[in-house]
Amino acid sequence: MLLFRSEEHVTRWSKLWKLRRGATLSLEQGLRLAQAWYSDRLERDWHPKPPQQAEALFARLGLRSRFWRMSR
Amino acid sequence: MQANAILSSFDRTVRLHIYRQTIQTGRIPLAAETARQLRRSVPEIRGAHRRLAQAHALVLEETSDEVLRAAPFWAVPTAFAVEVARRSYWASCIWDALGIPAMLRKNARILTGCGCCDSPMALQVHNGALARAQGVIHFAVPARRWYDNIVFT
Repeated sequence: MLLFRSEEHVTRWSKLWKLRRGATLSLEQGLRLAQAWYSDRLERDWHPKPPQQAEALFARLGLRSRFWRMSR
Repeated sequence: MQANAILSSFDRTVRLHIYRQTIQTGRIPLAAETARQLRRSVPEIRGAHRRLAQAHALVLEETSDEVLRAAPFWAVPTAFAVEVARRSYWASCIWDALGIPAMLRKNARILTGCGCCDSPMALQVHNGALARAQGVIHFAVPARRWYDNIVFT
């Protein structure tokens, strides 16, 4: 997950590396995602999120497209 | 071991120790350091590393059982430096760079560059919000394929 100056730079980078564009988030969305994902990481009983739990977290942040599904 | 497996008490202790040491020193500890600090053998710690990696709680270096990623921390220098107070950490991507202040609940300065042109970019996280917010985050790999190659992801 990289940071780019703008959407235009994402497009340029994708073409340069011949990669399909993935999903883009604003920095604010990215910070909210990081806060939701990492807020409990220092708890002793933390365990990796099962796919359904991860998808539910993404959905709460408005990330509901197929790109954010953990199941194949 | 499945990604949602329940971790043993010992593996939880090792995991938490790795995080506490990294927060304190800015560097992910080696298995030998964790063994010494927890008064266990190196093979015991390496075993915990492997189980934690199988559970997707850590990522190990390809050629050893040392920890490469205790998310959001990364063991070796990257393009994402995160400064918290007088300590500096490495993250492997912008999500993890933002994850460090999120996890620590601290203010931070993130120093990186544009993924396309490498021009310097600096972000400030203050009281849980972005003080300077210019740029866009790109996820190249769909969520279902993140663990196919976690280093590329």
